Amino acid sequence: MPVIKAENLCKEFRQRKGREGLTGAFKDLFNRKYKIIKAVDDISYTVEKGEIVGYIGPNGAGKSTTVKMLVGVLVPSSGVVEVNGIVPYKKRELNAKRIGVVFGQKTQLWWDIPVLETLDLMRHIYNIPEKQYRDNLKIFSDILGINEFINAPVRQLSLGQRMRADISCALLHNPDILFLDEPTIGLDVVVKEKIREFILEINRTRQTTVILATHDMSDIERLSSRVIVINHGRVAYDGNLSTLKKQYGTEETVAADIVGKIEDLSELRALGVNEIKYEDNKITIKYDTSRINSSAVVSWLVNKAETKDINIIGTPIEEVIRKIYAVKN
Amino acid sequence: MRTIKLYLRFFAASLKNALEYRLGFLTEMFTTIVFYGTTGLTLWILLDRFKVIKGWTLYQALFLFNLNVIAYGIAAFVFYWSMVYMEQMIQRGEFDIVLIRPMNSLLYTIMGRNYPSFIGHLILGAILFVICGVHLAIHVTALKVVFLVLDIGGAVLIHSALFVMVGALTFWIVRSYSLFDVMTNTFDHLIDYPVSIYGKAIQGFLTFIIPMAFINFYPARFFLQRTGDNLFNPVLQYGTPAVGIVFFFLAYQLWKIGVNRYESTGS
Amino acid sequence: MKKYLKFIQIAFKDRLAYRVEYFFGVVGFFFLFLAQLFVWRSLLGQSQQAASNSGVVTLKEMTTYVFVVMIVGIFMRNNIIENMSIRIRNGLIAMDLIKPINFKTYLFSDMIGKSFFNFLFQLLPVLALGLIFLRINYPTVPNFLLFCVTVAGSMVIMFLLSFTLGLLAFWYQSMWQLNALLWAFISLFSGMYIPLWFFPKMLVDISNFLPFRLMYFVPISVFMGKVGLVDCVYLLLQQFLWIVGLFILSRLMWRTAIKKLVIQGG
Repeated sequence: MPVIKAENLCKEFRQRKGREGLTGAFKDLFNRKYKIIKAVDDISYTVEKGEIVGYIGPNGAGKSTTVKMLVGVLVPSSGVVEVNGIVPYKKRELNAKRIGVVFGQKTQLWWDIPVLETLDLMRHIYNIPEKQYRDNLKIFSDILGINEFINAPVRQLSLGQRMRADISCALLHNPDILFLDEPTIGLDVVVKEKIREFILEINRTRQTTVILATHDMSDIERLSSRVIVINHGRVAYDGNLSTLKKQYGTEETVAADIVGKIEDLSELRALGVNEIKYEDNKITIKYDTSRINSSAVVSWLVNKAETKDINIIGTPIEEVIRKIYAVKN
Repeated sequence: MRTIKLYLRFFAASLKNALEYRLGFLTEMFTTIVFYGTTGLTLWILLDRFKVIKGWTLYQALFLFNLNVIAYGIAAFVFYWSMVYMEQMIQRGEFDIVLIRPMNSLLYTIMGRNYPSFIGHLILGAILFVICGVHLAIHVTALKVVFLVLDIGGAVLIHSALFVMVGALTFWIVRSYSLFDVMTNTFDHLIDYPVSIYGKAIQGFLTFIIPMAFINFYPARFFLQRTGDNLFNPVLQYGTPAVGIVFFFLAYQLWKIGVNRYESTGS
Repeated sequence: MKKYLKFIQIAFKDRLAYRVEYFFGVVGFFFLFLAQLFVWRSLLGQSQQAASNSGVVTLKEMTTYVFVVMIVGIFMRNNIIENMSIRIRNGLIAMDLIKPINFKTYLFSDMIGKSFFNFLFQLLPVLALGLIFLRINYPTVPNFLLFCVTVAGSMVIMFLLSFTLGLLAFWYQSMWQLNALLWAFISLFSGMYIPLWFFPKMLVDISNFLPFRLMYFVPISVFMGKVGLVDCVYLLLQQFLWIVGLFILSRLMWRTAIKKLVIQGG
């Protein structure tokens, strides 16, 4: 029995079309024109308990819209959606008890009161037993480190702290399913890693199903084996991540600031990288991850020179999608 | 019962927060008292000069004015901040957060968003109450006390209903802040004076369409045992509690329809 | 100069986009206006007139008075304090200082643009309706011209008061309180609700020291022909003095505020 089922899911929006100029604005006062946008166009898939599914696509692809339909915030234009056997928008409050949601761009905590107060209020809203509450707080402190800022009001927190607090809030009531909508956007590498580690831990110990909507490829790489690629409201790919990489190849880039000079690039070339750019003190290396491992490139680099700042950039999802459609055609 | 406890918890949390800024809290209260007190002062100046307005003397008119102050203060305390905030919540999609909680959407929206400065209303209300009480020599009976409580309750419900209705309208018009502005700065002041000064059309509007006359006029008529001022029917002077309940019920229905719309059209 | 004209135009267009706001504004206006008329009708009672500090006042005169309050009010309304307070609070004020425009003049042009729009689309419909159903005392041409001059003066005073109070946002957090207190004083002492003719002596004396009566009561009195030419000049002079005084005060505060901003970094 899948915990999540989407069948021919569609969602259309009416968008206002504003007319040009001052006279246009006047006309708009009395008679408005609309155009129809299909944000989600016939999406179907199922998710089993304990899966971590990466839901990836470019901006405006329909990821957030789908997630909203799954959590019961949006009503589909057509199609079937079932979460834990119930229809989310029909039984909103019942569904809400068993899911946790984290929105990347907005916080679910009260702005002016300490984080701990919000969590305490959640305890009462969700009827969380005392022991579970304490245990969870301990786990959140251990792995996410929220005890450092738990007494500060949300408006004083940095983005990374706020996100960690939001995730704690979403998991406080031990939901079966965790939905994350762009949770790592704008975060630095250290915090991203903590969060990813935490999600893996929760999934491992509680079999919490995780749906992660993002446009950051490296989120998916780290967390899930299954990936659903969305583009223009449709499923472009649904399957194994490594298969995706093998099929469409993913190009990664290692970029670094170097102290000193590297004379010999021949070993690097021998690895079979696609492109090397070396100018002033910056080096950029592009390679295919299906052929070369990033660690091979990075170890060559640190052996050859002192590096100040290493960044590993995954293929932008747009590139992957482009390739998917290129192959399809 | 549980929800009331929950609500009180939120109230306590936000009150704690407000009290931390003690100076700000006090100046807010002070400003509220000055601001609304000025309207009362205007009333006082006029009636000191003219003695009577449509048969209402100074302290009778102040009593009437005061009923509105108290009812508004309580209703605003619970609903004002959250309903005015709806515009921002809808624009930023923050209302989604309300919908992922396993509880009533209106209740969650108003939680933790109290506006403590409205306690200034209550203080002003208490002061005016004492002043009027001293000058009016109302014959106090147990029945009257019961009615006073019920009438204030009903009046609070009517003001609350207005807040919720405008908040619900945000689902359609989004930019509701200006409507709140008009409501609190204009409409609410229509009943600062006894409704009997208006023509039949406006009296009818304030009785049968947007029943604001039930906030202070009809109850005051009862308490001050005024003859005349019948307007439509003497039975209306008992109507406030019932009107409050019905009107708030309507407001809540509008809210539910609004939430449905939000869920269909996104943000 | 051209850029400020552009700001007026932008403010105009901006108002157009807010059609919902416009509609509610008209409705609110209308009811407020109506309510005041009823109040005076009831107060003046059967005789439809009353004695005052300046002779007998008829209902027709009070109707005219309320009318003109509406007209003047359109030009007084602004959200300068709110605007400034928000900008100062979130630091955007720094951007305003970098741009090659005078912040003050920008605000003033914005106020003019919005007033003009409100005049055309909020006031005129109400006025038109009102004039059809009501009778008021029309001014003589010279009185009307003097009226316009005094309204211009009122606008500047209102602007400077708002701007100066808005500057307090550099030191003091809550804008609502500043606005509310200003509003309380204006509603009491400007003659907006009660013409000063009906004030007890003590309040008249207090109000003579404050600039508020120059904003409503004086222009309206001029409109209604209650002010002789000599008195009018004297009152214009008072307006002028207040404008100069407020201008200097705002300049001083502005300098101090900038210093604070530069040193503290906002």
